[in-house]
Amino acid sequence: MGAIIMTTVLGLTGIAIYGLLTRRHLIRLVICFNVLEIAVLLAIVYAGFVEGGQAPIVGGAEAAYVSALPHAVALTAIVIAASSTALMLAYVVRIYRTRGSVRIERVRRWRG
Amino acid sequence: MIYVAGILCALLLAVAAYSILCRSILAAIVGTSVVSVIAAVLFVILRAPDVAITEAVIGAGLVTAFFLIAVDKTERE
Amino acid sequence: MRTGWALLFSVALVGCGIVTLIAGVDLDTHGAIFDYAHHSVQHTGAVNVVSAVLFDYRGLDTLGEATVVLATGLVVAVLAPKARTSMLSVRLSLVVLYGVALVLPFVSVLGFAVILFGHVSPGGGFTGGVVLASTAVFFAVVYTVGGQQSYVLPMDTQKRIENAAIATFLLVGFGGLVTGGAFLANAATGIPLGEPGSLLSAGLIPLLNLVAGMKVGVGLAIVVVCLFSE
Repeated sequence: MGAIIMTTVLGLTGIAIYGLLTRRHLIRLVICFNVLEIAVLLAIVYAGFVEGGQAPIVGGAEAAYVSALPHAVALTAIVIAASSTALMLAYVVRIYRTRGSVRIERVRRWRG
Repeated sequence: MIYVAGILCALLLAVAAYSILCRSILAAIVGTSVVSVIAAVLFVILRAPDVAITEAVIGAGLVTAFFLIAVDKTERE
Repeated sequence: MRTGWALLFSVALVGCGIVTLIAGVDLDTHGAIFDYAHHSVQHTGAVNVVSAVLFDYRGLDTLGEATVVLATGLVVAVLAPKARTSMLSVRLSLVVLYGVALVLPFVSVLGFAVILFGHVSPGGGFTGGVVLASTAVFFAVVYTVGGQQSYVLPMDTQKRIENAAIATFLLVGFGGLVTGGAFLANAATGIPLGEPGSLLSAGLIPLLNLVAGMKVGVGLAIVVVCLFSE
């Protein structure tokens, strides 16, 4: 299970970084940030995984539990990712209203 | 369970690649929503129910709504 | 950046990662993380270990996250001034209007139930909070017609709820300083921990769950409404 999940995390990171470098539509860049965020979350949650452990809700019988600290970090990271996606999209809409286009090559101005 | 995880991971990579490489922006947004939902299922397989519920609600509800509102306010190129 | 160089860069990055995996670098933590699950019932009285970690062992990080949501609301309110009309200029069909009106109360009850039972069953403050924020999204998208905005609660009430929530969080934290000895202390303030598994247990954690849920829910709803009516 570990090899599958870490390979997926690496593959998603590679796809997202390729998208960040080559795509020209601003909203597609925000989508690449989102995919990168999901890859990092998968890696964080897998870091606390214990083979044969249960979900971290104390049942009563003594058993092996999956570590709960990465879950708390992942919850915080999900809410912060949603907030930063909203912020980036507010910037994209503001850029469209002032510059008139959403493609990078028509938005960049080197002077002024 | 490991075969289910393997199939879901392969699907995750395929839909993420499609959502970045396709031509229409609306198809890319739907692809992002699907990526979030598959990640929520993977979190359940990794024994993290709180993270799974939160990711499903945010990924399929809030972030998709943000994207659609932003696409509607900028012209669809 | 051109496609060829970008592809080479990403493949090199992924390749470095795969080489690290194959070389057998030890990724295990070997028990260096404190075992929260086996001590959470006696230290905090909460059955859901993730809520105990978020609101008792690491409460300061939750305060930082609430600050991030507050800051996002502030910046989006500056970037997206409410000056324009809404997206839809035609009413949606009756099926949508009545269907959403039937579903919204149940979704709200689900959100509050997940928040209030956060220390007993999976979920907690953040999960219930984002469910409540999604009801605000439903409401804004479906019932806004022409130039007229509609919210679940009026905008002033939403801002007051958000401010009250974060003020309560800080007051609870300073209350821990006054009585017990540490900021955001739970068991050290002498609050009875109750019977683990029941609704009124785990000291201050249900209150902090409610406060964090209200904060996140109303904060994200404010962000959505500002973006929507920009």
